[in-house]
Amino acid sequence: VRRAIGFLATLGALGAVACGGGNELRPKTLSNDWVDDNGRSIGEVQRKTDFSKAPKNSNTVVAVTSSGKVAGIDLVGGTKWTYAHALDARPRVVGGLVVGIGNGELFALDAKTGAKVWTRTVGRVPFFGAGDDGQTTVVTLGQGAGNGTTLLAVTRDGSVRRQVETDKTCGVAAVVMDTIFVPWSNQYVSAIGLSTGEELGRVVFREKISHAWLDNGQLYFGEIGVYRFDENIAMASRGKASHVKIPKRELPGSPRLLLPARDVLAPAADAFDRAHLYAYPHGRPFALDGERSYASYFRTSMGFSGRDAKLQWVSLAPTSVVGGKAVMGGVVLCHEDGSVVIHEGNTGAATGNPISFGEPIQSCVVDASEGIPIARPSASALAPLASQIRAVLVDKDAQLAAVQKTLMDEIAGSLDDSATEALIALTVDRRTPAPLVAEAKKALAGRKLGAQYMLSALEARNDALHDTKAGPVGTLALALASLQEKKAARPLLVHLLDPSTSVEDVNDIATALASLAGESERAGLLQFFELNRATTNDVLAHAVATVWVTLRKLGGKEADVALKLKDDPFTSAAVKPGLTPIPTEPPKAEPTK
Amino acid sequence: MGDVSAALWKSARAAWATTTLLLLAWSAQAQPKTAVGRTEVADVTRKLASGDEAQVATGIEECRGQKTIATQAKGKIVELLELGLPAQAAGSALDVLGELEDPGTSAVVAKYTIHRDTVVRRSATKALGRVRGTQATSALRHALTDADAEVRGFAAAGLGALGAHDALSELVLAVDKRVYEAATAIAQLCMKDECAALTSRFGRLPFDVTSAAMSVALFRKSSDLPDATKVKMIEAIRELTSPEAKRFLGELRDKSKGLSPAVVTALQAGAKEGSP
Repeated sequence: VRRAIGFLATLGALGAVACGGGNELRPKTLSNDWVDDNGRSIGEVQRKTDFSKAPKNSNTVVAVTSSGKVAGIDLVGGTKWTYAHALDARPRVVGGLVVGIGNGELFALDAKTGAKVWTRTVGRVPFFGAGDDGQTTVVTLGQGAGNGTTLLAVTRDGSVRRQVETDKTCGVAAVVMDTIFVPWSNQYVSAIGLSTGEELGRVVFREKISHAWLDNGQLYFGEIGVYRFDENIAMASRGKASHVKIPKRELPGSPRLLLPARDVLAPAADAFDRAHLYAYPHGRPFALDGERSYASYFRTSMGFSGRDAKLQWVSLAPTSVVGGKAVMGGVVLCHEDGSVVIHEGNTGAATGNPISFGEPIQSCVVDASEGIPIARPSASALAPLASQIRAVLVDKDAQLAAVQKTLMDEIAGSLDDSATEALIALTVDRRTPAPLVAEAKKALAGRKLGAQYMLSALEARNDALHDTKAGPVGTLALALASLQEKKAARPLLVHLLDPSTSVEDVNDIATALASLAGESERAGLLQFFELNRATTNDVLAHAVATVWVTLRKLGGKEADVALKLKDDPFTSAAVKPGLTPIPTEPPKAEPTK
Repeated sequence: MGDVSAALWKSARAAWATTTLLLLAWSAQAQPKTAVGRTEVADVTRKLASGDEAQVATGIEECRGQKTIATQAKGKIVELLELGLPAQAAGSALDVLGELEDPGTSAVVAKYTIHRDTVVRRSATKALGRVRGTQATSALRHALTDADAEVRGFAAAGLGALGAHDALSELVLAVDKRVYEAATAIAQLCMKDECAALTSRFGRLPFDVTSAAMSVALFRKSSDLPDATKVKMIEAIRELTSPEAKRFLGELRDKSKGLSPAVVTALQAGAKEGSP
């Protein structure tokens, strides 16, 4: 009987399409034979659409558990539920319903309780998504392996109110008060009357779009960026619709806000879900909430702000992010271990009570926008950004390598003094992966900020009795030399004379002392020269020669001794070529390694 | 019992005879090989001044065990070390200065405790414990932090020999880092209750380390280390309750000549306890 009803509805729709409704403004439904009406038809639809009854988000998180069940959590009330059903695609949460498909059967559950609302057999067809306005659910389905689309409008009792079959490639449709909004051909959104099947208006966009959705009672279209269906929609073809885009920045995994709608989302999360962008656009003027955007990359999540998407925070979780959504004031993220974390947008602090499905999950969908518990943590409880980055950089997880590179670049370019401290700590932390130690040293050598942290790091000594190690003294030496930080001369001399200092570092220190050493370092420099002038090690010989030049430059009786030893037989052949007369200009840093 | 005593006595006499022979042999070896003439001193001096690495090395080697020649050549050796020598020659020169035990050479020997060559640092640290002098204590304390275990061992032994009481806390730390020479050093330096830092570690140290330290502590003068402290140390050994501890206390009891009655009594009690 239901099939018969569906068939009749289809006939009705086709009949309506054929008749055209008699209004010349209106294009033929999903027809390519359309002349841009400069937004007149869609403007009229916008003026007539009543959003006052459009549903708000349900503030729920729905997941596919590791055991394959559908599970839900109410983010406000905390109630949990599970529902067993085969799954061919990832369920969606729209208009207070969870809409899913499995074994050829569509099903709708109450998002708050998991109670079954309706089911409908549709056969094994691709499920692209759904929209719902609180009364009617519009499901977007494929037609086997072809490009065509079936739009199925189902009422709360499970009956089909309208079925639209088209050979057009449609994206995920939304429905608002008797009007279906169908994105198609990656550039149009057609408004189709639910009662008549007529196309009431059409809008063309300058940017690829394949999704239409309701969020917090507002209608949006998008894929790359987000358009809002408001009074500016009529000007879309002239590029003046309300539109936001996430500011571009280099991120690992090339994360996106939305996948093309025709990519069926599998029940289990994939790479796209693990490297994902999130943002919550709203307000007047239309903009991202707090100018913030978020990104996930496996176990890390990050918050950005401003038009240049400046990194504000980074968080490392025990397991990978598998889904989430930006909300007012923050972002809700689900992790593979079943935990749901609400991050405060500015700081990344995990707020609210711990939420968990109580078992690992394969994927999740968040339906929330505002009204969920986000508390601002006290400033003292927040670790500085550099420390947050450091926590990620010392993690040995190979999956994090790409984000670690990004974060290393971030910290290297940071204008915050504490970044210097973090870089130093990374170089001495045994957990830091070797390639990152090299990166940190490189970044440190070029730092122009945080000299106090560099000087402080020079205080650390190699001491087998107290189990302490010196920092990256060679790198620090070069950085402090470029800053002409004369206070570094004394501690650098100590490291120069320390037999535990590597010859490479000794060489860098010698280079630095060429411009930093003063009268009080002369005796120590001479001691270094005398102890090592017989060396046959080429790197050490270079350092010895550099020290000799420095001694000659500094003058005094030490310079005389150094000169006397220039041709001494115990000054090695490796050292002698470097004992050149005092240069007229200060010696420049030479490549040492 | 009579048979046992006779057997012990026989064994002790045999050991004494062996020890005497060994001492005589060592003594003969330690004596200058021949009488030293001016020619030999001049020859060594010439080699040391030659500027040729091989000749200098030979000259330094010829000073080893030759106190008269070494004393004559000391000035030149110090001069060579001050200006810097190749590692091998430097090590030999430091050994020679160590043999001379002249505090006047302390500065130049101390300078080499931070040489990049580990063998040279070992020679310098070892020599410094014998040379002593003004810079010895600070240089040896620093050497106690060296990356090389042998250098740390020589440093600890040197600090004990120097009576560097100020280094006691570092020596305790060194013991915990398995620098076992530090245990003997502590036994040489500790005062009264400070010795508890050593006795509290007896159970964790190899017994030969414990026994060596204990032997040193017990034979310190009573004015230097009170008998009461020594008795406490004996008690600590007794608490180990191992057969080797009892045997060791027995050996100490047998060599207790010169020790106070209280210490001897404690040793006797320790040795008796658990003996067959």
